[in-house]
Amino acid sequence: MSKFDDVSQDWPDEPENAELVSLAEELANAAPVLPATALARVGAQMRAEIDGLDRQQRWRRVAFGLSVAAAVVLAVAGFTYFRGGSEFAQPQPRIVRKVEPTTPVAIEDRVAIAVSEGAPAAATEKSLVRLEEYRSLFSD
Amino acid sequence: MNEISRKKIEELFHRYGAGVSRYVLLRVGSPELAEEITARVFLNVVRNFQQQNGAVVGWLWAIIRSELSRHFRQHSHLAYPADLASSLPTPSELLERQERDELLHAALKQLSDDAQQILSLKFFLDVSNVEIAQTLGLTPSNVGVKLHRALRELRELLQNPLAMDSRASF
Repeated sequence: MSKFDDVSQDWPDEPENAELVSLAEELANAAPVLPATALARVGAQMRAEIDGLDRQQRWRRVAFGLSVAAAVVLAVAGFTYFRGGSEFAQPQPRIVRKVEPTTPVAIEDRVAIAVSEGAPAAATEKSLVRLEEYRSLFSD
Repeated sequence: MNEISRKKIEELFHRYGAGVSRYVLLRVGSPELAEEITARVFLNVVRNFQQQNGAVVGWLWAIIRSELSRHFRQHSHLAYPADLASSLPTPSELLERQERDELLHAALKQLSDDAQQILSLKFFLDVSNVEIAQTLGLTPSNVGVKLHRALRELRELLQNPLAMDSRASF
């Protein structure tokens, strides 16, 4: 569609319309045109910018991938280090106490009693329970 | 950047590249500057394409405006060059075209933002009324009315060049 196909479309009906259409044509043709070579240079700059952005984005993607990979490796290494069993993990020093086997020792308690020879010792004068005094308690 | 985005950017450049450069050239007057600004516009397109969602023409127009605005802020002292239309054959035609370009340049600067936008989309970026409507969130009939109003505004400015002041609307 040409730019003038609808130029006077929906215009209010006025006598000056024909004059305005010719002004529109003049306006459209009046502006000087930039040389084609200049426009081609603009296009080339634009394409170079697109390529530059592409390169930047590619590098960003690579850097992002590398940082994600590094984070994963660090996380795995950290996990295995703290959980043990890793080849990177250092063995904890252990205190080993050498225990000698023991043999049971018999405990002896010896008391030395000196027994005198001759007549046995006289009985004690006072009995421990005064039986004579409480004889009534046992009788019928 | 994936292949689909690359293809879409290429399509965008193929469709609007020439129009953008024409509009920019009319605004700045120098082919070298126009090339530089057009390149900056499309470099911005490439860098921000992933963030773009919605109407692509409106987004492109916003980038053009922003780059032109930056240019005029940085080079507010630059005058509109007088040797723009070098491709015309005769000196009288050259002079006539030069005068017309200068006048158009001055008139476009004086237009309201809305009028500038709709005329630029229509006559430089070659966008249909339906696409403009989708871009600006209007109905196609509303676009027709706005286009009519913008052309009338431009005609008044062109008919009274003395009324134009030196203010840049960008």
